[in-house]
Amino acid sequence: MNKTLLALVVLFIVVILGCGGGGGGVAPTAITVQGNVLWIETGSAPSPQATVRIGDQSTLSDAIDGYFTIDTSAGNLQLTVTYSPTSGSPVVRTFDLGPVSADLDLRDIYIGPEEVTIAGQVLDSTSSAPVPGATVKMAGRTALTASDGRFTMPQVAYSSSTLSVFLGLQGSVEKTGYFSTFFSPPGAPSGGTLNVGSISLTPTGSIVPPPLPFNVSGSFASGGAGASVQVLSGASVIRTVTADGLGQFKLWLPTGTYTVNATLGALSGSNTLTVSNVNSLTSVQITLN
Amino acid sequence: MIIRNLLRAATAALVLGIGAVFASAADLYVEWDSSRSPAGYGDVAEAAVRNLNLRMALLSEQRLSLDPHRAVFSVPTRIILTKNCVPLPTTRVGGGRSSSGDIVLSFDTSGSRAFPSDYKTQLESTYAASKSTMDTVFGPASVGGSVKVLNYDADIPARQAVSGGFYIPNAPGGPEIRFPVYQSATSAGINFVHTLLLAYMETKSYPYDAWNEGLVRAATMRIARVPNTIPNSTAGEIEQTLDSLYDSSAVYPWSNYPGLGAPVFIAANLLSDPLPVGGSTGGIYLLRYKMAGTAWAKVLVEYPGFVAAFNDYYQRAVSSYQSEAGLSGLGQGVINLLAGHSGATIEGLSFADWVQRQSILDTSVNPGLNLVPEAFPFVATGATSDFGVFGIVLNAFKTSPNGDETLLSGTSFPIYWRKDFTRFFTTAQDDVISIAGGYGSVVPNFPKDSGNNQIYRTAVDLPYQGKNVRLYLPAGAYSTGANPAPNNVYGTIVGFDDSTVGMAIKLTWPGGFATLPVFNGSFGGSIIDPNFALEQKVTVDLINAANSSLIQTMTVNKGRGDLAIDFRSTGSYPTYSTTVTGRMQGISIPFEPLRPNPAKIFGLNDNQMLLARWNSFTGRYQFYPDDGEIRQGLGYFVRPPVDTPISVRSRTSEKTPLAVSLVPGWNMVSVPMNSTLTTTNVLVTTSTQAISTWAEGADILVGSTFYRYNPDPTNTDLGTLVPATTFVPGQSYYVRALSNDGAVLIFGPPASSSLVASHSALLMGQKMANQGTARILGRTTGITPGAWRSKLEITTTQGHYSVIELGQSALASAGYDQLDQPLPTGPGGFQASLEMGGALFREMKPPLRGDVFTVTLAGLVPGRRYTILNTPLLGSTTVTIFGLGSVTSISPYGQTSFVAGQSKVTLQVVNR
Repeated sequence: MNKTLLALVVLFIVVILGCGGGGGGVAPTAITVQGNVLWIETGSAPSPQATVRIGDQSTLSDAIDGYFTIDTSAGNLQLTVTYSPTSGSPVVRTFDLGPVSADLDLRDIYIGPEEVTIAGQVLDSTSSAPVPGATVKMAGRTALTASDGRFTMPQVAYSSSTLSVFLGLQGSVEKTGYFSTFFSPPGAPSGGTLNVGSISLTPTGSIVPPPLPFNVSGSFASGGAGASVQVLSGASVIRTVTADGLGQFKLWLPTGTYTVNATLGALSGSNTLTVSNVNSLTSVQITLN
Repeated sequence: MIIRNLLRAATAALVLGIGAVFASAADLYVEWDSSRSPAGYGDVAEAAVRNLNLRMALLSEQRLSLDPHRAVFSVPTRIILTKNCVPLPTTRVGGGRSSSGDIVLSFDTSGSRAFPSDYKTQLESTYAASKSTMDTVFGPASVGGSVKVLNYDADIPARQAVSGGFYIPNAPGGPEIRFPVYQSATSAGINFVHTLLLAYMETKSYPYDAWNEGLVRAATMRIARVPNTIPNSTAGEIEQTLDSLYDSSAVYPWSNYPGLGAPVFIAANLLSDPLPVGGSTGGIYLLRYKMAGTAWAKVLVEYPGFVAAFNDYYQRAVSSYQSEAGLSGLGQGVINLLAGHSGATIEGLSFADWVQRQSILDTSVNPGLNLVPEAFPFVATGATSDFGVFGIVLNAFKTSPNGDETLLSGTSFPIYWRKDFTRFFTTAQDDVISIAGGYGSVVPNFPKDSGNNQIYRTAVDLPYQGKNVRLYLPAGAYSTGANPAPNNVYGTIVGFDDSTVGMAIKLTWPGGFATLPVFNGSFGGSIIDPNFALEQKVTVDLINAANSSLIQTMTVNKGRGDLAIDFRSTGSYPTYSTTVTGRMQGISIPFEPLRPNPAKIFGLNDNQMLLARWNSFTGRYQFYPDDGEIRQGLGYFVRPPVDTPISVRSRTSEKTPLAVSLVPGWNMVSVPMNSTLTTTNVLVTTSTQAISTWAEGADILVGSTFYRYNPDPTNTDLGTLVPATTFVPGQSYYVRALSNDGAVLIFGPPASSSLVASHSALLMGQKMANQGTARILGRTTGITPGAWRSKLEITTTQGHYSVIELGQSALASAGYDQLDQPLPTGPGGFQASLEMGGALFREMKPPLRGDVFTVTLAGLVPGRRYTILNTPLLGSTTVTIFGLGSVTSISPYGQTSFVAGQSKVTLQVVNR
C-alpha cells in the first residue's frame, strides 16, 4: 500500500468515526401528533375507545370526541388505530404520515369496518386542463394528483351499512394558485372503488381584473400592428378600434353582417363579418394590401 | 307562441320518436300518427300524462315531504294531439256552441273504460253540483257539446303520484276526458272540477302557464269552497287538499321573488332528461302552480267575476292577446268594466303594476342562475325555548336561453340578521343549506334573546354562487314554546327602520278590525273573528302606536286562512329611470327589478342585447342570453346601439343594509341602493365568519382596491378600468374575493354608518383571532418612518385620465405583496400602469433600495399632449422620470407635459 492510499484509508476511517460520533451527539426532535379518531358509521368517537399508536408510543382515543395526542420523535411516521367494537371484527387501520418534522394536527381521521378507494380527476375550471400536484383529502386520507390531474386515494373508511354514503363527509382539494374546494361522493362505491368524477378548481387568478368583454376576435393575415379598424353597418361606422402590437383587435357586436375596413399607412384591407350569435366568439381576418 | 311551441314539439318528436310530448303552458302536445297507430292516441296520451305526473312528483318530492298533509301529487292536464307538429282538428259531437253552450258528459257503461257505477255517480254529481258555480266563476264553456269521460288507469308503480285527469279536445271521436279513480271523494271532486275547467276552455289556451293554469286553479279553489259543490266532502277535507296543492296565500310574500315565473312552469328538458337520482329534487314546480293560482285568487277576492269576464273577452279574439302586455291591457279593461269606472285597481295598483309585482306572472325566460326562496312557519314545541321555527327552502336552478332548467347542487350559508342588522348564528346545521337537485332546506329555530324576548324581524340572506335573496321573517310572531298556539296574522315591516315612534298594525276587514303592536319590526296575533279566515280584502294600516295617526296603508287581498304580511314602505317600490348611453359601459340597477330580463328592460331583441358579466369560475364573460338577468347588487357591461332610456319598476328594502354575494375571484358588483357609498359604509364577511369593516377585511377577505370602468372620452368602445373610492348607483365595479368561501358585502345606508362601526368593533376581537392579528395590525399601524407614497395622474385636455401610485415602505417586499395593487387593462384604451411581472395600479417597494419603477403608458394618441401630475400621499417626494426625451423631475404637486410620439411609451421613475 503506497502512502497516498494509506492516507486515504486513514482519512476514510476518521471521517466514518467522526460521522458516527457526531450523530450520537444530536437528540431526535420531539414532536406531538394529535387528532380525533372517529367511527364512520356514527361520526362520533369509537366506543369502546380505540388505541392509537406511533412507533412504541400509544394512547387511547378520548371517549367523548376521539381526541388523542402522542409525543414522539420527528421522522417518517406511521400511525395505527386499533379498534375492537363490541360486535363485529376488530379493525386495524394504518395511516402513513410521511416525513414529519414538527408538531402535527391530523384533525379528524375516520376508521370504518370497510375501506374503499376514491378516484377522480382535478381540472382547472377555466380551461378544463388537468391540475397536477393538488392535495386531495377525505376522512383523514390524503392523495396527490398526477400529471393528468387524476388521483387515487385508497383505504378510505367506509361502511356499506350506513344509509348516508360516507356519512355525508366532504372531501377537500387544495392547490397553490387555486381556491380550495370541496366535493361530495356522489354515491356508493362499486367493487371497492368510487369515482367522484371531475372536480373543478377555480384559479385564484390574475391579480388583474379581467379585460373588457368582446365577441369578435380580429387579426391580419400579416402585420397590422397599430392599424385603424372601422366596423360599418351599412354605411354607418359603428365601431372604431386600433389593432394592438400583435395586429389583433377585439369587438363586441350584436348579430348582423358588417363590413370591416382597416388602414395602416398606405395599406388598407376589408372583409365581411357576420355575427350569428352574440354569445359566441366570431373571428375575422383582414389582408392589408 | 303556438308556432314556437310546435317547433319545439317537433324537435322533441324527432328525438324521442312518435309519441313524444312537449309541455306548453300546461298543455301537453302529443304527436300521434293515426296511419301508424290508428287506435293508439289514448296510449300515447296516457303515457305522456304519466310521465308528466311522475316527474312532477319526483321534482316536488322533498317539498311535499315538508307538507304536513303529505298530499299525493296530481296535475290535471290538457292534451293536444298533433300530426307533423300541427294540431289535429277538433271533432265536435252534439253540435257546436249551442245557445246553452253546455258540456254534456257521456260515460261508457261497460268495458275497460267504464267507471264503477258509484264513482260514475260521484263524477256526475260533482258536475251537476258545481256547474252553475263553474259557469259563474269561470264563464260558460267556450264550446258546448258532448264530452266523453273515460276511466283512466292512473296507477304508477312508485306511487309517488297519481296521474291527474286529462282532457283531449281533439280526440278522433270527439272531446274526451280521461280520469283516474281516486280513493278520496274530495280529490276526485276537486280534480274533476279542475279538468272540467280545462274542457271549458277547449283549445283556447292562454299562451303562458301563469295565466292558463293560474286562472283555472284560482277558479277551482273558488268553486270548491262554495258549499256543496264537491259532493261527499267536508269543508276541512277540501281545505286540506287545497292547502297542499292549490293555495299559497298564507305564505305568498315569501316566495314572491324574481325568477319564480317562467313561460312554462315545468321546463321541456325536465320532461325528457334523466332526473337526479334519489329523489333529491326540488319543489319549485308545485310552488309555481300554487303561486299562480293564489295570485289570480287575489283578483277574484276583489272582482269575483274577473275570470269569467276575462275568459269571455279573451276567447272572442284569442290572437289579440298573445303577449303579457296584451293580456295586461285586457285585464285592466275587464276590471274597469267590473268596477264600473276607469282606473280600477287591484290591491290599490293598476292591473299592469299589480301584474308586475307578482313574480309568478313574469312570463319571460330569465336566463342564468335563479334563486327562489320559500318559507313557512311551524308550530313550536310547547314549553320549550323555541321562539319561532321556520322552514326555509332555497330553490336554485340555471335557466337556458330556450327555457330549459338545470337543477343545481351546492351549498348556501344563510346569514341571519336581527332587526338592528347585527348578525346572529343559530346552530351548525341551521347555518348551512345543502342544495341537491335544485333544492335545499333548513329549519332554523330563532333564539328568543335576539329580540330581547320580544318578537322580532329576522332578515335571512341566502347567498349562492354570487347571487343573494333575502327573506324577512317574523321570529316569534307565529308560535313560540311559551305560546305554541299559532297566530293567524304575522308579518314584518321594512323601510321604517329610521322611525323613532312606536308603531302598530291596524287590520280592517269587512265587519271587524284589530290592532297589533309592532315589536322589532315584526308583528303577530290571533284574530278571533271567524270571518277573518275568509278570503277578502283587508286594509293594513301602519299607525303611530301613541296617537293612531296613519303612517302608511296597504291593501291585501287575502286568501282563506292565515295572513302573512310583508309590509314595505312606499319607497321600497321605486322605479329606476335613466338613459344608458350608446357606448360600452359598466351599469347596474340599484334596486331589484321586478322583471329582470335585460332585453325587455332595454327594449331590444335578444340578438341585439349586448350584456356581459364576468364569471370567475369559468374565467370568462357570460353573455346574454346565456346569462344575465339583471339583479340588485350585481354589475354588468352593456353596449346599447344608441342612447336608450330605461325605466325599471323595482323592489328593494329601503333604509336597511343589503347584502351582495361574491364568489372567489373577480366579481362584478354594484351598490344595491340609490345612494353613493364609500367603503366605510360597507361590511365584509364570509359564510361562516364574523363581520369585518371593509378596512379590516381588505386584502384578507376582499382586495382592498376595487375598480370601475372609465369610458374613453372620444371612442365609445374604449375605456379604462380605474381604481374607485366610492360605489355610485348605476355603476358597475370589479371587486375581488380572496377567500375560498367567496365573501358577502353588506352595504349599509349612509345613516347606518355608526351602526356599522360599532357593530364591527364588537366583533373585531373574534376576527383578529381568526384571521391573523399581525397582518391587520401591521397594516393599520401605517407606513413606517422614511416611507413615501405618491400618486401620478396622467390626463389630457380631452378628458382622458389614468392614475398610478408608487412608493416605498418597510412593510413592502421586493416582489408583489399586499401593499401592491393590481391594475386592469383595457382593449386599447388609455392606460397607465406599473410593471412588475404584471400590470399594477400601486407598487410599493422596500425603502432605500434605489429601485426603479417601470411605468407604461398605453393607448396614447400620437400628437396628443399628456400631463403628468405628482401628488404626494405620504411624505413629500420628488420623482424623476426617464423616457420622455429628457430626464424630468416632478416635485410634489408639480406636473410635466409631453406630446406622445407613439401609442405606447415606457418610463422609468425613481425617488430622488
